[in-house]
Amino acid sequence: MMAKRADYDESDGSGPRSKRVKTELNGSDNNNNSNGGTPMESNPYLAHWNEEPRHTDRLASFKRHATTSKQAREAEDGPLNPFTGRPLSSRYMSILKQRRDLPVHQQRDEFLSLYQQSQILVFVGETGSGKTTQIPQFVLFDDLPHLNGKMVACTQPRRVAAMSVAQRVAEEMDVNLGEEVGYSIRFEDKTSPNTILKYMTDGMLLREAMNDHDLTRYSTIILDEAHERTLATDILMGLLKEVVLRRKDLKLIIMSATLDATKFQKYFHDAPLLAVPGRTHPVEIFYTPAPERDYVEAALRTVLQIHATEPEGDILLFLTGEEEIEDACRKINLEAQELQREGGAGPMVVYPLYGTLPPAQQQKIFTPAPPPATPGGRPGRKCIVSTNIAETSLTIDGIVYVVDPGFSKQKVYNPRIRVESLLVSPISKASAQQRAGRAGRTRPGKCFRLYTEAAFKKELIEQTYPEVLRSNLASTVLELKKLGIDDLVHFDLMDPPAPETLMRALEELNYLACLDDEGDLTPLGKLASEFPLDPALAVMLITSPEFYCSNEILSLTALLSVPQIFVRPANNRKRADEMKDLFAHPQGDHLTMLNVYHAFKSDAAQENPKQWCHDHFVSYRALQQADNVRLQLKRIMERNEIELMSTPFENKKYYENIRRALVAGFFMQVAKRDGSGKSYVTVKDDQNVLLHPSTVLAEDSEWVVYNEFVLTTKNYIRTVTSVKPEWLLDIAPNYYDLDTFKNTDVRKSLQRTLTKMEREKAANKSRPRY
Amino acid sequence: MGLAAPKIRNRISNDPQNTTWANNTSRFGHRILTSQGWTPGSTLGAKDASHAAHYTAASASHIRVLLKDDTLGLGAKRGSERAENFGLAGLESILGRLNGRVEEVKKEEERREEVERRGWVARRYGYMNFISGGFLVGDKIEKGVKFAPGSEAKVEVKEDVEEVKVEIKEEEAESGAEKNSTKKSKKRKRDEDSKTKKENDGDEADEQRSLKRKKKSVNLRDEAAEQTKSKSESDRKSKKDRKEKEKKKSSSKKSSSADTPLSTASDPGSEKAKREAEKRARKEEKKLKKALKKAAKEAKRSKSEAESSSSEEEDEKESATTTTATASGTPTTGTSTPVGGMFGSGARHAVRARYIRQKKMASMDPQALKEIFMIKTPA
Repeated sequence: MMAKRADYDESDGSGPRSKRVKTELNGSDNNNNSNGGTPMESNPYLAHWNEEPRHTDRLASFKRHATTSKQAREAEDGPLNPFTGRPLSSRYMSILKQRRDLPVHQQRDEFLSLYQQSQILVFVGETGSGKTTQIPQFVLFDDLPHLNGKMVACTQPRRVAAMSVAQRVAEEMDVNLGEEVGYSIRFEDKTSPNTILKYMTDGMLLREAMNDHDLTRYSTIILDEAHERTLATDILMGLLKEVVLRRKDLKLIIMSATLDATKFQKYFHDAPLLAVPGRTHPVEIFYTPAPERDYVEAALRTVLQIHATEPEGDILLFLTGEEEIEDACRKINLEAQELQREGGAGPMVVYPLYGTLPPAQQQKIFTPAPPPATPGGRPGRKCIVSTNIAETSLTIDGIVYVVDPGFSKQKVYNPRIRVESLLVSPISKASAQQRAGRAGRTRPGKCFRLYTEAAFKKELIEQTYPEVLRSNLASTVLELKKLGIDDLVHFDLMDPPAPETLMRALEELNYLACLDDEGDLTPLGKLASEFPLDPALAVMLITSPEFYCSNEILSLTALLSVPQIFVRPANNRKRADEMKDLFAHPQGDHLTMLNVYHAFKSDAAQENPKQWCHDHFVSYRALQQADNVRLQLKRIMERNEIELMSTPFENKKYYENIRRALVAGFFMQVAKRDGSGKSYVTVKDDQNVLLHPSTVLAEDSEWVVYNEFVLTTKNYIRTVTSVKPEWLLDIAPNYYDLDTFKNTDVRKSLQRTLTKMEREKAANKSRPRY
Repeated sequence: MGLAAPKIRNRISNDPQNTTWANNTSRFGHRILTSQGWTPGSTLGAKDASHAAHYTAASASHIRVLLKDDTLGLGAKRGSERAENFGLAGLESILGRLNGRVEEVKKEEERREEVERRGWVARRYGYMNFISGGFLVGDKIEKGVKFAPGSEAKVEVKEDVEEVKVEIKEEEAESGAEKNSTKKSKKRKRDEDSKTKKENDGDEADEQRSLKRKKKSVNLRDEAAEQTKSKSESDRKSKKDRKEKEKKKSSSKKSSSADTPLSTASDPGSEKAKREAEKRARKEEKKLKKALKKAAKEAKRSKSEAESSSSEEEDEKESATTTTATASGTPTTGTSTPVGGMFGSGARHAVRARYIRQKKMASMDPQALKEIFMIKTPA
């Protein structure tokens, strides 16, 4: 540090003055004191009277990990940007004023002293405390990453958050986004060599860790929104816990919005905790005295009652899924109109909000509530009907009333039958409190819970289960292996997954030949981990050149990793189905999707793709996204020298090759028809399933490969394509080792196929060659 | 479920739990895990993890979720699942008596009778709703504390959350106080060091001092609250009390920040200011005590109210014609319980009411009358 400063002074003309300022700021003695000038000259507030000092002077004089908030404040006050040396804009000054009102600023000194003392710090700040934008900046002023070529990373669970926060912080620091402050999300990197603060998704940091196990580019890593416990955050925490032992210079801050920070503290060897209160208002909570028979109806009733009787303020209603939300919106709209006509209530507008809603419509929720119908009449209000994305991810100001039926759709994974599905289940207590808290953002609010207090206490679990307990871990295990973690049993996760889940993941990877029989990563596994995809999809993509159809499989992979491409609006189902039939391929849904993509890329469609999509009832957004994903995957393929090729379309094996390539990845997701009926049985796991009604499969097919197992009142398999049993035995002999099968219909059928194949082979051999 | 309900036929697989896979110990996954030191029955994770106490059941075995295919609310049971409907209630009480729990059984039976009676009354005559008008104390009616959102007397707020918050705040206050003292000494030193700087620092120092005073007064109030707490007899009361305190603190923070400019104007750091702070603290204490009493009263009242309303609700549910649930949560906020439902029976009346209103409107409107009587007028 000292040496660096000395170098700098030599190269700088205004050496003495800079040192003079430094003594002032550091408060430590310095031998250059002697040539200090008049009091006025040394006054930092009057610095702009002198000739322009070099911007880094001020920060260069800071002693790393020994600064105070006062020093940082002075540097922030300008007049020059301490990081770029450019004069600060007036906009910056006004933002600075707002920033200093944020709750975190009150505890800046406390934060700094804890940050300096300890390698790991747990920081708790409720929403609205300003932690996501301010703490990284506090760190910048103390860590001074630009002086030793490091960066500060701040992870976010969501891409949108990473982008928007980076934008905001760039404004706050008066720099261009992508220069000193940047972001990095999957498929988009907006950073430069100058970047000192990088917002990124947790998944991206994990990807970086795969190639740089010690994360040497970073001097401080901040894991934000750790309470959400995403898969990537959980693994990062386990990983960083080990990295901090290896790299004593790395600092780690865990930021959480919930008060249940003791678990984090315990996990990180009793790391110090700093809590900052948020700026929230009290929320009055109401329970129902008796359980509700129909939570949807009760919710609608409550919304209307609030609208009719409560004073001004917007309503937020939590429901579980898209269909339920759209239905509720329609009903509320109708009733609210009647209420306005007949009951003399004010106008009310209703907005749905869920993940798959197009962004333009999502933006609508931010439009202010409507004005009174007549001047001076009852005030209008808006009602937002949302899934649990409004619980933490989105902040909507103006919400005063929250209606919480106590359910949400949650992902669960059953390793025994290998089903990952979204199911409606009761929320957790923590979740319920989060929901209630949404009512107190702008002023005191009310939360109406559509269940009894007893139900709250008895039926709800304490915390929502972290994602690591609710997911298929195949890709996670592959990542961990790539991260150099071999002992998966003792990997120190905050919540270790169920043993059976881990076993399933290992077995899947073994069958896919990503892991050898000793559990070590194979070359194929290494290659597969390069792709940000499910291992089955990655393996399918990598092996596709063997089937001469890597172009098509690349498109298909992209299509399978974006949301549903077919649109089926409730008011126009028949027309949508007719349009889908235009693309239908009798042999299956995968091929149908491919047809849609090819049609979408045709010149005729590209003239006006939006209109084309609208006319053909396919999602423009999903296809566009698929296009983007395809491009990114193509780059990775090129980097890894995987050949791109196609079978000529005229060749009759064109579709067969694609189906065979499908089997190479999805041989573990195969079902055989049960007897002659409509029902199917999944291979090896013996689950009775039905073909999803949306399938276009027209051919009578005994064996199908499926993309998804959907759990509803009936078990469905969705996106199916017919395959031949010979291919299964041929392409995945390990999995279709008949000795491992139970003596069922599936085994008998496979046995017949096998003998047939052997007979043919023998016949081919005995036949003389010409 | 009655005979009219839709029939759902479901075929259950031979092995819905896939025990064939689960019980097979020669699988690759099982082999690898055991070779890495896992024993069946134990959870994964680091040896002797310090946070192992926080593991949930989901770390031992996958999460099991009941498939929900209805819109039954949280905690609700289907009508047919009630004990009374099977005549099991009688059996239950017999068994209960045999087990020597006569008192509980009696209470339960009484409750059931009460519910039935109320239900009968509600069906027969409908239910009347009233709004609390306060208590007659002496010869004056006291409204009591109004339940406005954000007011002190909150019954329903989850207590444990509040507690945690309070704890953290207390910690903060303590550490803050410590910080302040160290800061003070540092500050003095530095002031001596650089006199030139003082001018510029002036306003900031003032701010610091005022902050200090604020902290002090908060501490005093804490002490006061502590004393009152020790005085309070019941558990419930003390909890309440803490809540109060926290509320007070937050509000006082606001107020003190508001009155800082005033105090900085008067000579800061003097004895006078100190005395003033003490005085204020004493006043606060008094106020607090008063508020406490009120809150206790309020709590009692609301509790009894809640009880009565809950039983009411049950009856209403039974009759299925009037409103449910949510209504009773609100009477305290000043909104009255709607008597007729907005749905259900209300709809029929609404339609008729609208029809009548239209007719009325038509008869009032001369243009419409002309149309009805087909009077031709010059355009």
